[in-house]
Amino acid sequence: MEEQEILTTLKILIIGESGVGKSSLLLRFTDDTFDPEQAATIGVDFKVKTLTVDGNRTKLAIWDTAGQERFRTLTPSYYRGAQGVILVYDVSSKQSFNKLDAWLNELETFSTKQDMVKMLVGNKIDRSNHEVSKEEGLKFARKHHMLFIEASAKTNDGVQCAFEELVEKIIQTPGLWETSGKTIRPGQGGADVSQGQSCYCVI
Amino acid sequence: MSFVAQILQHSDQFEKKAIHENVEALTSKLNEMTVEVHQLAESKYVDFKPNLGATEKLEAKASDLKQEISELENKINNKINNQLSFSAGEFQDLNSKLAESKSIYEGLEKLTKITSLLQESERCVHTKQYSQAASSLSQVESMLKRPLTNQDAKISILAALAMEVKVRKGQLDCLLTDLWKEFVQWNIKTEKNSTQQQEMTLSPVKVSLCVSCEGDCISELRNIVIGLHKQNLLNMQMKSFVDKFKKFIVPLIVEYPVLDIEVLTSGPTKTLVILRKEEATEQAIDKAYVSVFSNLIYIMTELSAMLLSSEFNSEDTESNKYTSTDLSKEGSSDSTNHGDTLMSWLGAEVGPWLLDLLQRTVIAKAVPTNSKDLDGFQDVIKQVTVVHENLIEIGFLQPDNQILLKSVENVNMLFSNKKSQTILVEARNLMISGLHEGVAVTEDKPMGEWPPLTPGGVKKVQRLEVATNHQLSDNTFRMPRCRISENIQTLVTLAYETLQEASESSPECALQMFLAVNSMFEIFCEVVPTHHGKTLETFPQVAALHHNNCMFISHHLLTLGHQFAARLPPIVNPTFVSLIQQIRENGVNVFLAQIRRQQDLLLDCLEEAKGFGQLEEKARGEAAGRAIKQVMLQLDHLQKIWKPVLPINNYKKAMGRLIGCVVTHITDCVCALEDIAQTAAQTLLKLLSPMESTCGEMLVLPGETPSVELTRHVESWPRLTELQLVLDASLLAVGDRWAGGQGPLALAFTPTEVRQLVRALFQNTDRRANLLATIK
Repeated sequence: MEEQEILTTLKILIIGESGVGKSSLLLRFTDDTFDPEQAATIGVDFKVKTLTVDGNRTKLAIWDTAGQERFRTLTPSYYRGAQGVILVYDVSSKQSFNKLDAWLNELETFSTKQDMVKMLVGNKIDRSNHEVSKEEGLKFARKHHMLFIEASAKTNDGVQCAFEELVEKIIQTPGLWETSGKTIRPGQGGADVSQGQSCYCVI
Repeated sequence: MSFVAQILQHSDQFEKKAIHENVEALTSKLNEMTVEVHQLAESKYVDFKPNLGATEKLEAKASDLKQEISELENKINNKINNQLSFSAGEFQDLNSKLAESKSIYEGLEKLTKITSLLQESERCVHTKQYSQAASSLSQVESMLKRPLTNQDAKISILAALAMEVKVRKGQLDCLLTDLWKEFVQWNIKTEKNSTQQQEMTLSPVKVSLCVSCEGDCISELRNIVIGLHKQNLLNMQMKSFVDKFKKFIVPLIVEYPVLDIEVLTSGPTKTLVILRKEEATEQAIDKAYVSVFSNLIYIMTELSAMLLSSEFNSEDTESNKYTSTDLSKEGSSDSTNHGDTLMSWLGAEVGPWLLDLLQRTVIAKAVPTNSKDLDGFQDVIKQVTVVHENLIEIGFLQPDNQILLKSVENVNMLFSNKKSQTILVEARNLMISGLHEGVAVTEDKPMGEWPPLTPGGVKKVQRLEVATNHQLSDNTFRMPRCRISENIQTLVTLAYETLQEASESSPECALQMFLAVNSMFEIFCEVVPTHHGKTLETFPQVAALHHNNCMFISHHLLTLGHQFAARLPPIVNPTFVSLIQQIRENGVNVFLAQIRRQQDLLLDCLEEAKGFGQLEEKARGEAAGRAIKQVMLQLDHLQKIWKPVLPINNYKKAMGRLIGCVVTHITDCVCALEDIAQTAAQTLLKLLSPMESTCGEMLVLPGETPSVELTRHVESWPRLTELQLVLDASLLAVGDRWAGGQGPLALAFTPTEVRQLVRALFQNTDRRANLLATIK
């Protein structure tokens, strides 16, 4: 895998209510760290990570937005050009789930790519007090044509999978990511996807 | 034979017999006639012949006689004609002699009359019947004007008489003038007003008019007056009298409500003394008109009694016998007729002027400035009516002169005009005085509760529904917290008070006041930007205050009309919204101009850094440091004066724009550099890194995050943060930050700028080449 040519750079957006664990998911994914006292994001955070999916090496430019209402006005400009979005809610907070509609609305409003791939992530499944069931999440995701996964940044459950599934789906979507006449066809069936984790993303 | 035939035959015979008989009778008559004619002719001729002879003789005799008669007639004619022409000549001669004698007689008679008139006049002068004397003289004069003969020039006595009359007249003139001066004496004490100039007004201190008029003197005075009039001198005397009246008496009356007026009577003379009371002028200003009017009435009445009630165009009744043929009107001496008194003369001369003066000064001062005092004006009207009646009674005014009454008739008009004037003057003074004294606009309602909106339009139920379904924020329609000029707050309060008063006044007043308020704001549009132009340009704080002032006024103008609509007369269209656009635009433009000026100042400071190149050199580094320090200091100053003044949003926008201007300039400069040495990059970083906290501090309120506020209000802020990252980053980090055009670096800079930065910062290596290849 060393120095394999990077197929493309994808812009991924992480959105969702304040405190659902967006930054934790990102840090788990990029740095494989977890801070239970993770501070609230101010404005926006940015991380880069390369990821190989199906034998295709892609660079991910991940924008982690602030969930807090008072920073909300800053975010719209970051939506521009995003090919994928990870919409996060907290399974132990019904309220964060209920707000998903508003987030989808904002996404519709500001995204520039029509066929942008959306992934719904129910975070914090390590917790015991679930307020949102998996079925509910699945139903919502189906309704809005999103990928769906439950995850835990704390226990590193489904985090890697969520990003991989999203990237795979993006690469499979024609016209979404090709840049400047490059005609590298994504390879098929290179690496094993599941890596032994139960990875069940659904459209 | 029939019976008929028998009868016819019988009658035929009878007829033949009858005709025969008739013929015989005619024949005998013819014979008789012949004889008769013969006899007649014979006898006529016999008589005719001798008659003819006699007649012819007679005719001859008659013609002889006729000849004789015509001869005789000729003789007579010749003789009598001669005698007749002679007699006619004689008659004419006699006739002309008669005419001459007659004219001589007439001339002599006239001369006699003139002499007696002259004597009469002289006698009259002695007996002080001056009017009589004057009329006698004028009669003589008029007589002399009619020529006695067509050869008057040759009659020397006429010239002598004319001269005599002239002399007499002159003497009388002198006498009367002297007498007038003796009888009417002015004594005026004045003080010079301040300056030395000659034409400066002399203000009277004490005026006394001394008129000798007691008992008989009254008639003597009247006689003098009439005499003067007849001599055509009254005009001149009255002119000086009128002048003195205008110049000394009236100013005293009008300007000094407290006067000491005395009428001194000593012997036959009466003296009117008007004395100004210095010490009392300050007091009793409140109801000055009362004393002014009573002084006026008193003085005028006294003048009338002393002198001015004298009639000048009439003959005394006792002298009528002599001048019955004079042109003076009978009955003008009737005391009810004031048409020809000196007072009416005075009235005609100064009446309009005096009334106008009274209106402009005394009445204008008495007009209330507050609608509450309007009732008090009734008293003024009463006073004015008294003055009016008095002036008419003494004949100063003609009975049909209504000027004085009319002037107070429309109290409302007077009041509202005065009110409008006062308001506008006050408003203008507020506007041209300094704007820099600020007061806070508090969020509570500055003018008390609003009256309920005009009912109608939407049904109450519907309104309630709307109101409950759509809860408005408490901040809706609220003026944000800021500071405005104290004067402008006073101005707006004045507008509210005026409208409040208007809504309690009569419709005419209300209209006037409404218009005054409107004019007030129109004046604001014109006066403030012009009068304070320089200040608004020079002082950012005043510009900010002016901006707020404009917004504050507009804010109130939006609703000002509606608040009072229900209580103003329907003719008023109570809205001020047409002014709002102009006022707002002015506020915004002034402030934007100020921002541009500040921008220029900041950029001037940055010029010192000379493009931020070669910062590794100490001097350049220091210059750049100084430039940034200056800029930050200037921004800090603006923060200090704007933050407490402007509404917070406007403040952030303005500061954001200025900070943005600085950031754009710095980043543009750095991006344009060909080469940035490592040390230069470090210096630059050291210069730039404090900017986040310094600028951030300027934009935050307690509880806000500086970086968020900077991103929110400074459009180009990400350029500065990204630049700082790049200055301190490895090639790899720059590449990640760029992230194939998907990273934040790509949001802040164009590919060209990033490539230029990379080239300037990093050495030419393969890795750099690779990175540059990805940046496009």
